[in-house]
Amino acid sequence: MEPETIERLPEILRSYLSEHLPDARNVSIHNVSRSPGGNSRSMWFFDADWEGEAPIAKQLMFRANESTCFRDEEASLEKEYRVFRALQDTPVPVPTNYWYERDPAWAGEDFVIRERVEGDTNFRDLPPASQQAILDHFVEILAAQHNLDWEAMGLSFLGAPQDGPECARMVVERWERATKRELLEPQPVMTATMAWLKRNLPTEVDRIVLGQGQVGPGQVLFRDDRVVASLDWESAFIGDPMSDLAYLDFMVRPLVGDEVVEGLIARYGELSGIPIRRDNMRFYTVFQSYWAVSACLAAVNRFATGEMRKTQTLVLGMAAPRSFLRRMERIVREDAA
Amino acid sequence: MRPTPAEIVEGLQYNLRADLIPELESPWAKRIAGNMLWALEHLKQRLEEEHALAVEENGDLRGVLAAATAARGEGGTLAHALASIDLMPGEAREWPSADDLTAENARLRTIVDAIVEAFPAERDGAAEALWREILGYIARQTERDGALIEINPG
Repeated sequence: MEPETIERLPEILRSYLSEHLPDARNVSIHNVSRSPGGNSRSMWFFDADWEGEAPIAKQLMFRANESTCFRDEEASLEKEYRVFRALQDTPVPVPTNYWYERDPAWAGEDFVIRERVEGDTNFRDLPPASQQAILDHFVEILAAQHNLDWEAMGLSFLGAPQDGPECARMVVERWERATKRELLEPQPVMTATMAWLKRNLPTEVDRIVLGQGQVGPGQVLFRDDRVVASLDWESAFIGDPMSDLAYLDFMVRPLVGDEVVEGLIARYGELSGIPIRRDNMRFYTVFQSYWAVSACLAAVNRFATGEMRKTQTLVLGMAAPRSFLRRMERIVREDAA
Repeated sequence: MRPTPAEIVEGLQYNLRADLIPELESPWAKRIAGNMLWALEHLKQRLEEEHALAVEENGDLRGVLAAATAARGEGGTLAHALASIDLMPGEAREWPSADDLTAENARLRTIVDAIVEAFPAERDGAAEALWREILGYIARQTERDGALIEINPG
């Protein structure tokens, strides 16, 4: 967002809520602060107050469309908003999303006004018992999520694969296109990894589900050892549930160890009724590395071309994908051995 | 000229660490200051090491292209797969500027990338040896980039 818009943000929010809450009078905005969390889109926390009635929370957040790493083709703010709305009143706890605004007259770009749920995100520093409790609860939620009727929820717009083989093929083709669009210089490691992915596409999928894309600690808020909100739905997709399970595995295994992770995977299988397919999980572990680097390439592109020349874009684009690049390099080398 | 660009960057890093960051209260501002420290350290590494690493990288790519030319000469599936790719690396300048090295790198990497994309799934003999050569290059290239990016800005 432009600096002038940021400076005017309290007044923009006051006017917006005044217009959209007809029974609220004397709307006031307090404690506007930029959220330090999240890497993709700019967010501000704020508190609102008013006289009279209004069917929304008073602790809110403003989420701007401006993204360091995603393009609308793959992960738009509108898509995320629609997924959040569809998840309202399901077993997946999400903050209420009140409005998605397209009119650039307000803030120069699209934005969402969302409920701000109180909770923590720092999973890494918790005691092991708390980590285990949160992960146990998260796996219950993930199993329930994978049993949602996404067609009835109106989520087919995410792109529904016709059958098992199409699940992996669709995401691989989508992100190969994105990579080619964003690359400013050839990256043979990306090309070699794409060749690996195409050679190892899973064909057996037991259930086509609503997947989250980015899963687990870092994407949820927790309080008193329970998950209170699942936050990140911009990478949601319809496809193979093993994708989410693979993401959870590689995010938490280094933190909680093999025994805990294997217990979580077994519990997920029991709760969801979906068989665990290790080959599919391995494929998606590699795919998610490719995906993460591809998203970061958009940040490099935005910085280098002047579309978004900010240090947060530079750091996300260059530093964040290093571990994923190393993982991809190792996998294509091991595959040749 | 003294001070060198790297020395000037160190001065900026000092002021950020000692004078600005301790005065910041907003978590967002602290995060951005941390990003700026990273960017300054990255800039310093590039000022000091990028030229030498680019010379090494381009030499490495030329080695892959020489190996590809030899492997293609042995015929078979590999020769067919690489038939339409121009493997000529072009001239290298004796005293290249940074821009020369960047342009040369883009040209060489484009050819190696085309080889990787066209590489046959079934690899035997010459193809297997060339694939290992390419993977070796990819590993070294990952290390070279890492030297400039995987840094601790303090």
